[in-house]
Amino acid sequence: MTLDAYNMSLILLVTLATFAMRAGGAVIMARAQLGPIATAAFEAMPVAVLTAVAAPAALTQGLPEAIAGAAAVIVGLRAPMAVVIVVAMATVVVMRQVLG
Amino acid sequence: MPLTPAALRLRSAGAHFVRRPVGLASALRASEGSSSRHAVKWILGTSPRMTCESGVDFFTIFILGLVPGIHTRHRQPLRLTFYSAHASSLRLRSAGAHFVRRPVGLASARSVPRIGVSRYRYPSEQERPERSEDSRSTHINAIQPGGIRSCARHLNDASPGFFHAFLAKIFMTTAKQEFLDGLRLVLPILVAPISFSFIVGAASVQQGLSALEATLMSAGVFAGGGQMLALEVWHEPQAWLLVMLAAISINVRFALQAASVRRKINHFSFVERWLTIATLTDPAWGMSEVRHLTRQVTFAFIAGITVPIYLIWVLGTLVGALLGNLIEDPAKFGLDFAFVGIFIALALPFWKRSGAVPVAIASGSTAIVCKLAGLGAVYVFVGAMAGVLVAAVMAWRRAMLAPTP
Repeated sequence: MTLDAYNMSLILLVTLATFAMRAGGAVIMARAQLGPIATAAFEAMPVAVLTAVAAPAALTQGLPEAIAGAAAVIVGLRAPMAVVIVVAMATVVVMRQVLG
Repeated sequence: MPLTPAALRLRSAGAHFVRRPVGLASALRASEGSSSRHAVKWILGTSPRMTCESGVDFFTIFILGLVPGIHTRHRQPLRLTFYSAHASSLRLRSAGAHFVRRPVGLASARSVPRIGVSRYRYPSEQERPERSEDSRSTHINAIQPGGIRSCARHLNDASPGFFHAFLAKIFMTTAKQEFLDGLRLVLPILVAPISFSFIVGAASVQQGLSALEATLMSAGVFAGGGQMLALEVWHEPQAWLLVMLAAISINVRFALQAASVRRKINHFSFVERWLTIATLTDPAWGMSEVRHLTRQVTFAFIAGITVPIYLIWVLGTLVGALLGNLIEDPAKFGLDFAFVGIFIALALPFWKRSGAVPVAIASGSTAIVCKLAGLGAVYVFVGAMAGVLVAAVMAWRRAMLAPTP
């Protein structure tokens, strides 16, 4: 239970950035009307970021990770989030044992 | 039968226990019965001159207040106060707007405290008074109940202690009901924040945060995806810039959600509004949108969604961090891959949407290429920008192809 200056400053930054998003949306964007292109760009941002994180992490680390990522996607089409995570973790553990 | 002034007034205070629109006299006759009926009597008082049975409208309420023989239980003159009500404001009020902040009264308006009008809820379909064929009542049914409710809001009873305690009771039960409504909606999905918070806690200690820091981070940020992405780049060079970009890029959806929610919570107080916005989550946003289709969104309703999520989120992070501390080798349990699992699980609902596949392919392939090219953590943002660009181009093409109206 310690507080590190580096960690705390980053935590503060993340907190402020997240709050800025919520508050900015409420204060600025509630008044402004976005055009269709800007709306589409904003709406695509989360999926673009998530994919940009997940795809390299799953596909560039090795075969066990790639298989686990594929398993997670297949399971995730039907199952809830918690199951997806458990399946991803379990598959990567098993595959590392089998293949590694 | 039309609404009586008593029923109107009680409804105006947010009460919906007067299920059946009853005539004034019959309401008074019945007032010895249940406590709610008793309240009708309390508020109106009894008077032999009060003979109107039905067909009471807004103006009758107004006139009732001027008749000297009508008085309250405490032999005080019956006084009614109204908010100024233009036709347009009536319409807007029945639509749930409460922009007239100041009671503009007939008499002693200033003595009427502002009641939490924001807390009333729309009556559901069953609770709405039945339409009457009675010609005397058509004019009252022509006005939406919300408008009437807002106009005939207060009866300034001579015993304010009782009256306000009574109102407070109504508000509490209404708020409680709203809170439970929210809670009931959020319960089935609570499994997601429970498991997610454990993983965020474990991932935080894996990245060198203490359990206390992890808990503080969850309490402050309260956005799982942003926290995970920020933790992913925690130890990169220029981490301060990267964590901010991480939080902004993944949480930019909150800006859109907050913009939408903000338009639906105009009737909240300042504190309620900012609490709602500062703790906005995907479920709170989504359920508020759905709720808004049928009735006014209340603060209690949003609290019913957000409070359990927040408590679970903070406590779950703490538990996850403490458990994560116990694990010697995270890779042995695949915990290092939990990051990827989370991001896949978060992205999947988006991938299922139409139009998201090209975006995902563009951002994913660009990110992979950039990572293999050795760009460092920047690959996330280059990839994301590629995806956003594709989305913008697609929208632009749609706009070009769409027939101009």
